[in-house]
Amino acid sequence: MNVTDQVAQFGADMARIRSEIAKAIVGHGDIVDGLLTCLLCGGHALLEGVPGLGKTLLVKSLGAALHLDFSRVQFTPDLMPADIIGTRVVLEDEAGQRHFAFQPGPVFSNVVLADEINRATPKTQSALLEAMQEQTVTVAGTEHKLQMPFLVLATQNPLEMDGTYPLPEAQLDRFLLKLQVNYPSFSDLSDIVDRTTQGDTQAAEPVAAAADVLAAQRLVRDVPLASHVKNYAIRLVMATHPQTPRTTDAVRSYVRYGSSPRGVQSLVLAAKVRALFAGRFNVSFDDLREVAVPCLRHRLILNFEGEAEGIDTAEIVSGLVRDLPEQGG
Amino acid sequence: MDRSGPLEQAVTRLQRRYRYLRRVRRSLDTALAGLAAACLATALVTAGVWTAPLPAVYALLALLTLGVILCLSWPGRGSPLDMLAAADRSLRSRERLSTAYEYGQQHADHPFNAALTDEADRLAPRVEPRQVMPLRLPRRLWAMPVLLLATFTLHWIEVPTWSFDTLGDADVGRQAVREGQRLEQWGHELERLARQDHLDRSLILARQLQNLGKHLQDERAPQDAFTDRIATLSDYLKRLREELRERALMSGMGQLGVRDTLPSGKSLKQELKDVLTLLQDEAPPRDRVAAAEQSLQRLQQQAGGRPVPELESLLQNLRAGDVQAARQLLREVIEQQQASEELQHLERARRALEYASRSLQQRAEGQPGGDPAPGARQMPGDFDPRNFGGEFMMEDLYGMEEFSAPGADAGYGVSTRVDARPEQALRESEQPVSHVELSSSPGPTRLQYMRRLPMVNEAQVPVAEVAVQYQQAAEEVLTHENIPRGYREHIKQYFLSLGMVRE
Repeated sequence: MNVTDQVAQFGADMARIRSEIAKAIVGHGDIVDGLLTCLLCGGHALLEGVPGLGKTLLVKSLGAALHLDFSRVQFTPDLMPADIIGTRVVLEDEAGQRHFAFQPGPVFSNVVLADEINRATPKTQSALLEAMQEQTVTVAGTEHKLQMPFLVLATQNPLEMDGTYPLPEAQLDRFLLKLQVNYPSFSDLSDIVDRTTQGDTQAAEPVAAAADVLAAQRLVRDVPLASHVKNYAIRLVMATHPQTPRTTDAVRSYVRYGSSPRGVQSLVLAAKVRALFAGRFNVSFDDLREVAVPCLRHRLILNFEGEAEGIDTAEIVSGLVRDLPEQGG
Repeated sequence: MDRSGPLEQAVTRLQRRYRYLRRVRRSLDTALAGLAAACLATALVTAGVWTAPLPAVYALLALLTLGVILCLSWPGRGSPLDMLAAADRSLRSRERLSTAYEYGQQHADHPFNAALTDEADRLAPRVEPRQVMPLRLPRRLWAMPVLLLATFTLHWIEVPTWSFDTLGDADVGRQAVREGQRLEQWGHELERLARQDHLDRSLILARQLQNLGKHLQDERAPQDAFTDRIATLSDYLKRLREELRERALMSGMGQLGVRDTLPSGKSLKQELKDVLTLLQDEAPPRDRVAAAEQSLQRLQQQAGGRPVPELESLLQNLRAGDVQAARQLLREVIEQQQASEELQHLERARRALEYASRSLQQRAEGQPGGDPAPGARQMPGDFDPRNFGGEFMMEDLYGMEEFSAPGADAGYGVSTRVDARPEQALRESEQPVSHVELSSSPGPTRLQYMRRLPMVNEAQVPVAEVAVQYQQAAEEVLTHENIPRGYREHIKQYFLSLGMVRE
């Protein structure tokens, strides 16, 4: 199969997945694309939104549509790392002999929903670090590989901050995208009412397998990226640092630390997925601009002034995208 | 990549456009520089700062500009990737062209290459170089018409008419500058004489005269301000003259004349100083006192035989042995003589100021500069620049050849200067017109200078018209001023020689 066919197949697969998810989820098209982007990039997503917007259902539907293992972990303050990654337990065999055996935790799934991740302690949150970055889990000196594809979808509620533990920067940096789940529109809400209060609720059917996802991931990485487009991505990420000469006043005023190099990796990978979504064979400036906010918003650390004035990092990134010229030194 | 593919053809078209635009921009920039240089050269030549034939300058600049344009127009090659990126922007092709070109050049075995090239080849024929790289001229080129206009304007406008000294009232300004130069020159001459004779007050006045001359040259003040300045200095001069005249007239030594040179070759003041030197000691030896007496007796004889009271008193004191009283009297006489000399210098300064003021006033009133108004008179010492008439002295002449001439006090002569021929000042003829030969006349005094009549046809006013009033002025001077006794007869003979004066 040549590239053209592969890209066409990719587009068709994505369309099917979207339509399956759409059976259960009304609207949220950009969130669905974001989740698919994370899946195809091999990254993870952080969903932020108030309760009741369908975050969990969305993730479950994605798992169902892709025919992937799905697990859900409800993060609570008393949740322990072992509850996530698993632990060694004593087992007795038929001969009556006892031995330790590793009992995998919920992280050993293709799609892990870490619901309200900010309610767990930092220690428990950190249990996901290795899994998210290395796709492995080490218990009692033994490294266990996770199933591929592996996708962590974490949610957090921005309103109820009492008794929560904000995610550490190292953890935040490991999320490819931070997606903002907004309140549905009037028409979407009307559809939700119709679907959930009349007759049986439809569920997503599996339309793609793990192998298809892995193939798509490989295809994504092959998407060409011209040097001047790559330079733009690099300049965009460098401009998030207040020390950079060519940046905006907002960055200089309100940002303490800019994006890490993971930011540019995320930007380029996400842009490649966007290009394939659009049926193109190359990354454009527009692709980079479209994914810049979800890729970079959670990687910027505000200074005191920024925190005090309630500056939204998404606005700062939007300003950068608006002001940074495509051509530059 | 197929070198003859649509994408490559598009690159070729873009390269051609790039070279054209670069050539145009560089040519226009060079032309702008050349035009600026031409404008500057025109301004310099028009202002008189630089003297060069403008056509030659223009030709040289045109050749230089052409040479630079030819050098800068050497074919160059732009970056194809940058041009294709611009084409992508122009076509909104989402970087398809540039990515395809780059991957075709650098990643020939990339799996996406074929698909990228196919897309690019479909898009490439739509690349329109004029749209991708439109001709946008830099803003600075708007200066070209302005410079062109400025050059033409400078070419046709006579900038010298706007020069510094002609701003405002052109005639008055030019006249003031000229009079200022003249006053400054006279001031220098007066300073030289005052230094030579150790005349302090004259020295101060000479410097003030120079300063006034400089002010007249440098300032753009209106004509009233010039005459005010001259009037102020004239008032000061008048007071100084009266003070010195009182002191000088108290001395009977005035009969000898302050500028006269005695047969010994020394002036009267120098002779008196020599006598004072002889009596310098508290008790001078007898031979020195005798030598002093002899000197005084000689001076008495040179005074024309008439006794001079001061010299008489001096001799009496010496003969009586009262050297101290003689010394004191001698000092007083020297001071009076000094005052007389200063007075003579101040008289010249007065004449210079009168002339300057009169010239300025006549210029302002529309009369030809320097020409005397017939019939107008001005009494010496009654100078008022606002009411000054047409009286002229010999110092009024250009060049001041007679500035230091003692005979100038007589106040005769006619200026013939006209503005159109300023260099044609009244010059004296080589031959003396008077049959009064002063230069070799016998007597106790002799003249260093001799005045002669102007050259033929140079006087603008006939002598007959002015001789009477000059004769009256001379009589007045003879009555009131300290004219050396030996000169009085000569002056009378001079006017008689003209044949128009009543006996």
